[in-house]
This record gives sequence, structure tokens and C-alpha cells, in this order.
Amino acid sequence: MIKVENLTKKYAGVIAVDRVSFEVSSGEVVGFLGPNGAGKTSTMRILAGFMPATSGKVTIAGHDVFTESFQARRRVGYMPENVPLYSDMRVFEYLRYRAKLKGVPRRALDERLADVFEQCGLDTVRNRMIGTLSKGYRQRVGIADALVHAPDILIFDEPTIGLDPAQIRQMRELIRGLGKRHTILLSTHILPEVEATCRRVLILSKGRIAAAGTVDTLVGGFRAAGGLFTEIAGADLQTVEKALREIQAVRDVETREMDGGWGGYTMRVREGEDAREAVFELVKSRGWKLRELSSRGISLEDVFLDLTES
Amino acid sequence: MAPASYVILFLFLLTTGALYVFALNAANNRAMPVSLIEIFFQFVMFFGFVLVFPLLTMRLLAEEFKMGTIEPLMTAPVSDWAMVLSKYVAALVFYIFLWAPTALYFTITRWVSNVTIAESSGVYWTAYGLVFMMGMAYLAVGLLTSALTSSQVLAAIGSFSLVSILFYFGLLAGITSPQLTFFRDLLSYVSAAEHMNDSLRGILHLRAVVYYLSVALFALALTHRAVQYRRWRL
Repeated sequence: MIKVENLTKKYAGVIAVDRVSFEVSSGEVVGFLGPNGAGKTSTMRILAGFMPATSGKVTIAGHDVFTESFQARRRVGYMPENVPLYSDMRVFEYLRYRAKLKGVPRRALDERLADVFEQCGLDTVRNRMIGTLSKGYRQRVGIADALVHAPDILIFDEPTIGLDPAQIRQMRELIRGLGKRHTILLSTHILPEVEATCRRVLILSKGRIAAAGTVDTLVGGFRAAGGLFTEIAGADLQTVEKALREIQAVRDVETREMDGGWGGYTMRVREGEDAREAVFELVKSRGWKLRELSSRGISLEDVFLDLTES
Repeated sequence: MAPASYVILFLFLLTTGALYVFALNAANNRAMPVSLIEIFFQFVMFFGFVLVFPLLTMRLLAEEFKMGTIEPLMTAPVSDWAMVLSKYVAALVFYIFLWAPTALYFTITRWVSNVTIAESSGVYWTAYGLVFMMGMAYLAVGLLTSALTSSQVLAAIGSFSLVSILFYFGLLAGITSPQLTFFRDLLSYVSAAEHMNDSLRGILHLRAVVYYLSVALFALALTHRAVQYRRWRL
């Protein structure tokens, strides 16, 4: 459905998107993950036909977004970041205008509008001014706008940004429901978001794709290089930390002070190695005390930090 | 219609209404061979006429860029030309809507009195025709300045300056040395004051029509370029 090849976007010499390639097939829900400024919005804007790429090729349902822009735009429902809307229009008025603008035929208009009002739960605010709506409702109007011309592909830029936890849950459910009938590409920098709604993840960092795959394979690949947590007493924190760092399998140590002279140490372990025995030997040889030693599963958060920080 | 449009409509009717009363008084008191329609249009042209254009156009594109609503607009399957022209036609329709009630002033006056309003009914057509031609040109200029910036204030200042220059430029003909015949003629061809005087005598020169249409087309073409430029460099 979406095919991106060697997409590059430069702004006045700054490279925002650097030779990015990926594909999204029909019916997939793909999460676009990355820190702020990684190039998510730029990529999505190019996909939605808002601005042209510097180089590279993007096709949407077989239509090139640059040369066959209208055909491509007709197949895409796009919700921009922060959902810009006309604040002095009423919800119904706005969505009817958008439907006409996007070429929904007159006889299908009422039915389409009734559909999206129901899908997005907007019936109660039908006649409200958009400027008086809460953030959660504004977001829903944005989604309704994206849906109104019944596109196959939905592109949402940060659909849950600025929402409270209850609204986030509602938004997730809405997106999950839409995923049954649409191909969705959504961006976020909130990780649980992706784990909850997407089957596949593309991690973008500094304009390039740092990793791609299903949530399970991404996490799975890093599981071998899991984490280790231990609580040790008997020496000051710096000494223990220094000694732990000297263990060959340990890559990184994070220290936390605890009551009664205890220290908590979270370690990241090199791929395919196990540091538990070495930690035990270390504690035994120095005569320290040990009250916890456990391995920790890695989360998508660790994967993400690992890929975007280095 | 946005709430602000009602305010503009109200102010426009208030101003033209007051000017019409002054024009009526002037027509009554002076033993001049000048018709009411001539006095009224002369008044309107030199009291705040150029202010109408920034007010009608400053929001059109600048606001879309500022609020980000340009993004859903430009990702809808609509060409940049269609967008620019719809904005333009919307402003033009509202402009006609502003002026339409002023025709009623004359109708009412003729109904209650027998003041000589115009020598012939053709003057109505040429006077309102010229107002429409000026609207076409100056609204296009206003739309252009609105496309160049994201600030409504800057757009308003820009269009006020440009429209003022276009509108008063022709007055330079009066202070140009008589030896410079070519420049004098050129300035009088593009002089809004001269067009107005002619139209109030029932003359609408083809050269005036061509001039205003050219300004409108040129400004619209530039607006389209500006919109495309901003799409590329976003």
C-alpha cells in the first residue's frame, strides 16, 4: 500500500530524512517511532502530499505522491500533528465542508457523515464550535476528518499527544478498531502506545531507519542482551559500581542509593552473555552482602534508547 | 461567514451611509452641476476606500499558514490553483455583497425626492462596473500579500501599502512636467482618479478594464507561485 524508496528531505542544508526506505502492506498497522526531530513528521508530510521530497520515490496504492498527487491524496486520510482546525466553525459544518472538499459525492454525503460521527463518538458535540472543544474531542474531529472520504490508508501524526490517560485509552481503542479495515501508519514517541496498537514498528533516528520489525522480534533480538538487577551492601556505591563495571559481560551500570547502606544496581549485559555468576563471585571475594540478584526482561523502551542514543 | 465579516459589513454600511448623507447635503446646498452619484463616489473613493481591501484579504492565507490549517487544506485532493481561486472568488463575492446595499441608497432617494442622481442610468453601470474592476485588482493584490506571510498584520500593512500605491499613483500625473508627455499619459492611463471621473460621466475605457484585469491576473499568478514556493520550502 505504501512504498517508500530512498526518501530524502533537506531543509536549507539540514537533512531531516536521510535515504529512508520501507513498505507498509495492506491491512497493516505500523508504528513510526522516534525521538522529536527524528524526521517522523517530515516523512509523513511527504506521504500525505503536503510537501515534495528532495529525492526518492513514494508510492501510495500504486500512485506516485508527486506525479499523481491527487490520486494518492484521495487514498490517504491524514491527521497532522496537533490537529489544526478552524476554530470558528461548528463540528458538523467543518466535517461536511471537508467531505465536499475531498470529493465525497452529494448522495453519499449524509451517510458518510453519519458514519464518521458514530465511529468517532462525535454526536454529542455535533453543533459545538470547534474552538470550545477539549483536546480529546479536537483529536477525534481530526480522525473523523481523515476518515470522511473513506480512504484505505490512514496516516496519523502523534494521535495521542497531549491527551489524558483516559482519552489515550479511548484513542487507542478507536485506532485499534480502525486497524481492522484500514492500513494505518502512525507516529509516536510514547512506547507503550506502539506496543498497544501496532504490529510492526519502524524506529527512526536522526533521519534514518535504525530498526524495523514486529514488536516481538525487535524485543526478542535484544532479549539475549537483557538486564540484571542486584542489591549489594558492604562498600560505598562508587566502589561497587566500579567493580561491577569491570566485569567483562557488563556494559553499563545504573546506581541507586537505598536505605541501610544498600545500593541497587541495574546492569545492561552484553548480548549472549550472562553476568550473574561473575557478580556473585565478585561479592563473595570482596566479602560484601548480597540480597537480590535477578535478570530483567528488556522492554521496547530499552531497545529504543539503545538504538537512538548510540 | 466568519464573525469578523459581520463587523466589516457593519462598518462599511455605516461609513458609506454617513458619506451618502454628506453627499445628499452637498448636492442640496451647492448650486453645482454635479450629480449625487458623482459626489457620493468621489467621497467614498477618498475616504477609506483602500482600507476595505486589507480587511477583506489579510486573513485569507496568512491565517491558514499561521494556524497550520493549510496542512489539511493542502493535503486534500485540490490543486493549488483551485485553492487560490476559491479564496479569491470568496473575497470578490463578499466585496459585491458589501457594495450591493449602496445601490439601495439611490433607489430610496429617487423614491422619496426628485434630486437629480445621474444624467442617465448608464452611469450606474459604469460607476459600479469600475468599483468591481478595482475590487478584482486590489483583492488579488491583497491575496498576494496574504500568501507571502504568516502574519495577518504584515499582510494588512503590505496590501494597504500596495493598494494605496496603485490607487494614488496616477495622481503623480498632475505634478509631472508637461514635457514628459509619455509619462504623463502613462500615469493618467493607470490613474484611479481619472478612471473614476470618466466612469461617473458614463465612460468606462477599455484600457482601464484591461489594466485592472492585468493587475488581477498578475497578482493571482504571483499568489499561486508564492503558495507553491511555501509548499516546497516548508
